[in-house]
Amino acid sequence: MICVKDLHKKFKTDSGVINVLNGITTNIKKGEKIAIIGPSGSGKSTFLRCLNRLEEPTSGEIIFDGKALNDSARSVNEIRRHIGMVFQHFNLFPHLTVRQNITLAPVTLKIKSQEEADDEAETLLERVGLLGKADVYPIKLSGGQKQRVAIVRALAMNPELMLFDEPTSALDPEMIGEVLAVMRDLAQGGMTMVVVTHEMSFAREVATRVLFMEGGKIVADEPPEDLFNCSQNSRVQEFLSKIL
Amino acid sequence: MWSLFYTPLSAKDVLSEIQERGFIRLATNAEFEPFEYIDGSEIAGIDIDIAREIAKRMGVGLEITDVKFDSLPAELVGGNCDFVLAGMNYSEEKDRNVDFSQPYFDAKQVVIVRKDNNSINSENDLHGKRIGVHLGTTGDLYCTEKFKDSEVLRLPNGTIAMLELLSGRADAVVIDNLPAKNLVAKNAGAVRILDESLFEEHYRAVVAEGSDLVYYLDSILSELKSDGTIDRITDKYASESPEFGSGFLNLIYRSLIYKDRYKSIFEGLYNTLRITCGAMVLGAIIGSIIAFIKLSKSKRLYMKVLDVLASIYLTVIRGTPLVVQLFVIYYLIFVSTSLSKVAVATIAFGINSGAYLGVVLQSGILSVDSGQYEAARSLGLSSKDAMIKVVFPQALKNIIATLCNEFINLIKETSVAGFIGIMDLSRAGDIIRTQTLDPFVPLLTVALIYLIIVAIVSCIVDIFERRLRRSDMR
Ligand SMILES: Nc1ncnc2c1ncn2[C@@H]1O[C@H](COP(=O)(O)OP(=O)(O)O)[C@@H](O)[C@H]1O
Ligand SMILES: [Mg+2]
Repeated sequence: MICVKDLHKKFKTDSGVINVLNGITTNIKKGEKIAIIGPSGSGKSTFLRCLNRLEEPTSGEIIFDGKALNDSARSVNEIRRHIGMVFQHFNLFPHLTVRQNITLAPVTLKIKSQEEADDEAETLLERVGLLGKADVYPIKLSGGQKQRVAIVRALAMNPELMLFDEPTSALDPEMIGEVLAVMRDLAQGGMTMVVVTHEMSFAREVATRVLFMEGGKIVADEPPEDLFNCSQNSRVQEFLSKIL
Repeated sequence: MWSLFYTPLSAKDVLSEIQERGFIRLATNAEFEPFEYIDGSEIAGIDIDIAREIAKRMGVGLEITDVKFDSLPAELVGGNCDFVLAGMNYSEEKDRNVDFSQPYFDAKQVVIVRKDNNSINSENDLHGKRIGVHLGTTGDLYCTEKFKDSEVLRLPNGTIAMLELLSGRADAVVIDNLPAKNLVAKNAGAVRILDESLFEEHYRAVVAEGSDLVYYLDSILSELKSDGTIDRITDKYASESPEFGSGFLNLIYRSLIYKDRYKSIFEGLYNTLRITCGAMVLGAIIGSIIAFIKLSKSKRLYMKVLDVLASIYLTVIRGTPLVVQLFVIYYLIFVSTSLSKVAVATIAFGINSGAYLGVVLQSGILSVDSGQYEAARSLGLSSKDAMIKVVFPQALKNIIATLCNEFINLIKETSVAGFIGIMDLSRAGDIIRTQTLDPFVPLLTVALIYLIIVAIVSCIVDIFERRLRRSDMR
């Protein structure tokens, strides 16, 4: 579904150039659930953001469904319709109700009529147990509820691929479970997912593949049972020993 | 005289231009009763009647514009009018830019003092005193030059000079004898004119440097003098003004109702609102463009050039007084245009508030978390949709109070439009004040109207703001 070839990303800052991604090559196949783990600052978010072009790669290639992504605004917008993204800090639109948050994109992009989008929003909200919140503003929701709405907002575009950037890191511990449950559900439904996470149990249980990133590179790429139980990589061992 | 030497060479064929146009354009300053003043909502006076006579004898119509006295030469130089009749005297300084006709009226500068003041009886007694003059008149020039040891109060018109005298802030007023007669008549009993006049002067028509109109005006004016027309006109204006009773109701009657004076208030209100609303719309458009340029992260060369231009615009507009901007736009940029004064003023105020709105808009957009824009883009929305549907509504909520302030400021700042002769709300009040010699009723009326407008605007913004804040309620 997505082929990434030798992806590099540099940031120019006042204090010089930072090399954040240093040659990432990987394939993401339909139906895969990929967990990305690794120390903070290793470039996990940047990699995810390159996949839907929120960041412009410095060099390298990303091929989505056989088409190379180029920079033209149209093709970027087109690609993003098929890739949903869930952010650490939810990024719900505070001036819109839950329902409006969910229907804004499909209606604005004329993919659905307002009625169709409303129906779909209600179906999705029911699935995540938030039907009763359709007409409230985000400020009235708890963190866990916000993140569930954010997932629904991305799903309303019927994406082929979902990107999650630490979706539970900003949540109080008691709310993490409800969000992971929704993601587990989604995985069982066959969605292709790339999840940056520190929830090792979730990665172990749901992922089909785990990428360990460090210093802007993929250091290990193994199925979870191998990576978590008997990884030969010393960097992986060190990282796991620190967080487990 | 200097102008005589090269007039034939550069003579502009203004005359045939006027004939072609079908009307002649007079500029004056209607704050000099009885030569030119606002009567009800019309400009009237000796100079105006003379101008009508001139137009009639030329066989063309007459268009009158009313601007501040200091702006009159600029009106001529800029080609906004054909001639000026404003009780103007020859001055060497002005002669560099304009040409003067033969005199059509001989006036004297006289001194008005309070009746209870016995210390001023001749010109010499003026030394060391406070002298009120009409800014830019020959009386002003003379007194500023001659009485260096006195405090010369240079005031916007004779009526205000008179108010200063009556309230004791000035000891004497130096002014032309005809307006002096009217001013004294209105305050009979309180003031007197000294027997000894300061100097004689001769009112002349004024035209642009090198205009051939001056010869034509000379011949018509001497005709008007010799056939007694000018004497007839001055006699007509020398008659007494009607008597009013005293008391507050009479004052209101005199200020607002007599001669339909409320009509100038309405006209002023209409212009103020027109200019403010138009300028706000234009300012919002310019401001959006500026905010867009300033916030753009594009590395293209033309965007960088635009960014520099935007910075220059912001610095110049925010770093210079509004009056100066209005003058530059009116007299330099829009000199030969068919646009009305109100349109030009709207453009000038729009350009001005564009700078302030641009900065406000920019900070409003920056106050919205960048994650909002990214979330919108990640859903496939174009950058335009993301801005319009997601970022802008949130920015608006943050800046609406500031925008409301900007609008209120603009309403009040439009009073500067009076400088290019637009009858705005403040000027309407000023003019009534010069007619009635009572400052309070027109001032309070105008203040009350501003207050009502501001209250209405605040109320509307409040409702709007509450709607925007609905989403903040827990
Ligand atoms: N827009 C940016 N400008 C400059 N540096 C950035 C930017 N975004 C990320 N970085 C830097 O890139 C590095 C990797 O960041 P990130 O991808 O967020 O890491 P992770 O998600 O693995 O913690 C960090 O050192 C961060 O400071
Ligand atoms: Mg991150």
